[in-house]
Amino acid sequence: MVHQLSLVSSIAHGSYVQTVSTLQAFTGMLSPQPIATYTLLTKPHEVFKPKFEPGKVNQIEQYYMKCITTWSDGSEFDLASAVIKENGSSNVFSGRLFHAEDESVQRIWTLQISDIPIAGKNQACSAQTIYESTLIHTHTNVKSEENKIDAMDVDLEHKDKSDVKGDTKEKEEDKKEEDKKEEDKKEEDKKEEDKKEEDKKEEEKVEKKNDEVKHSEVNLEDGAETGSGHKDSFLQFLEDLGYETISQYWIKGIRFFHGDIVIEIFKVLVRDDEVTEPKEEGKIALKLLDESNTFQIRTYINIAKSTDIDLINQGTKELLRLQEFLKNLFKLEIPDRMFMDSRVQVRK
Amino acid sequence: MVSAVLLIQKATPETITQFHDQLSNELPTLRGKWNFNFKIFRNNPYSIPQELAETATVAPESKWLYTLSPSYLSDSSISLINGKSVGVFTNLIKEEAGEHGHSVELSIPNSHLHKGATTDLNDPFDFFVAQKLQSLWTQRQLIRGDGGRIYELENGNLTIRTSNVFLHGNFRGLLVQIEINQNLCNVDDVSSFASTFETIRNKYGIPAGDLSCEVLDPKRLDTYADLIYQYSKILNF
Repeated sequence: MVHQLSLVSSIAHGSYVQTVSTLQAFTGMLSPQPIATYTLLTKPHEVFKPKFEPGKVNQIEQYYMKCITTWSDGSEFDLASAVIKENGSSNVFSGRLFHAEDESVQRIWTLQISDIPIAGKNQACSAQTIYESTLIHTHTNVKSEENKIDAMDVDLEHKDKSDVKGDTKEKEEDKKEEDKKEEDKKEEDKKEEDKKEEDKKEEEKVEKKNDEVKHSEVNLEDGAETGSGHKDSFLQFLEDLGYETISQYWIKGIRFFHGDIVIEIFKVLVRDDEVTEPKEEGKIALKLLDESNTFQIRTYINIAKSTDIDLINQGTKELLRLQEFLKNLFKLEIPDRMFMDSRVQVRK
Repeated sequence: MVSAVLLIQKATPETITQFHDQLSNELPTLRGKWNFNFKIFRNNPYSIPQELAETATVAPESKWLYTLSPSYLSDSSISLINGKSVGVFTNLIKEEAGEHGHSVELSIPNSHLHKGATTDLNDPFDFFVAQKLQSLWTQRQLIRGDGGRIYELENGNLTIRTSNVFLHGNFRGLLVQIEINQNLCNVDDVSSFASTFETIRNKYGIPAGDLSCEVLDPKRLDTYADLIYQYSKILNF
């Protein structure tokens, strides 16, 4: 359980170098730590219809869950230079996550669910409780063929839903931007196509494998076979747990540490669907969520216990001091609490 | 490691003492004490599949989620959902595990923390489920194993773990977890495991009881997945 105190801000691309220099001097960290995460946004795939009994308050909620892992662009994606689309194609790529070759290493996933930030008029900073648990290994007895069909089913189901979703005002957990909601819908579509593509790939692979067995050559695909088993096992685990994926995004940035405060400067990337043929095989083209090249800034303190009032008060003070100190560089503000709400709205 | 789990429900203080004496005569290496928590969750009946949401008021089928947290896997837990998929969770970052001065089987790679994917304040998975997935899973039973001992035999190729099993504070039997090195059995033939473990049981005078050496997927053995699968079969009161 993490009790997180945070303040957010954003800077224009042009201020990046100055901001980084200032923070380097301020924190004494000459080389900030690079951060690169990939997040799958998931939602319970079942409808929760609790029985309402008079006199009984039902406090059970359904939550969106984030599944976070690391990613490497494996390339020269430079934060300091603006990402500009040339001839309609960007030059940022991510390795295909569920691609078999990527699976020589077992992927680690952190499952994370956060509460809505604490309400109140006199909040000096946003305070929310985050629960997370890290999955280091998955295994399933569901065969990959069966599983493939399953994944597709989920996808189809999801398609029907996404239409409905436009009408029902569901709030995505959103720590970035107000306009993200619109983007989210786009992202979802992307996700679907992404999945379908993956499925297609799978099929191709299976076919290829069959061929190879016939030729009875050195079976290089063997590694890929267990790899695809792994791929399926995480998605299978997620599905059995009761969740389905609805969206995805990548984060790339740097972070500084100042005492207990973490200062993160990052950009959010989403899948670029306009690029049909990526330059490299097995890569996904990405684009910025916010094409103005704005950087997001998040400063936060993690406190292990939400009951530790002393630490919370002290942390709040430290954040406010930082806010005051950096006010000429960027203005740290409290993010809108409603956009940080990760509860699934109950449909009446 | 290939494992089997045995529950002796008829165990009495005498038979347990006798069994421990017998094992000690084999001059095993003692690997200390251990205990475990085994939690059983059932799906929340008010979570209904979408296609039935309009017509049904409760979910048509029961699903089960098990979590096993043995103390010898520090800060880790294994969970099995619906007899199909298994996930191993841990809270330890590799570099922190080193600080404790002992080697650990399971840990999160350092880069996962450094690249910002986790805050390093992880919760055990059973706690996570109980706190935030209440709409999906509700805890039904807590089975505890206490006063466990670990014996290592045959130059480390055979590990026998014993533990007393309690359900709601009532003694429910003696659990014996047998783990053998893969080269002591025929891993390609899962059906041969039963006789292999039967031989071991007779050799070390382990009392008879319900034995499970079933595996989740006979084609792909997985130490942790198979272990929790066996627990779920045995601790099924």
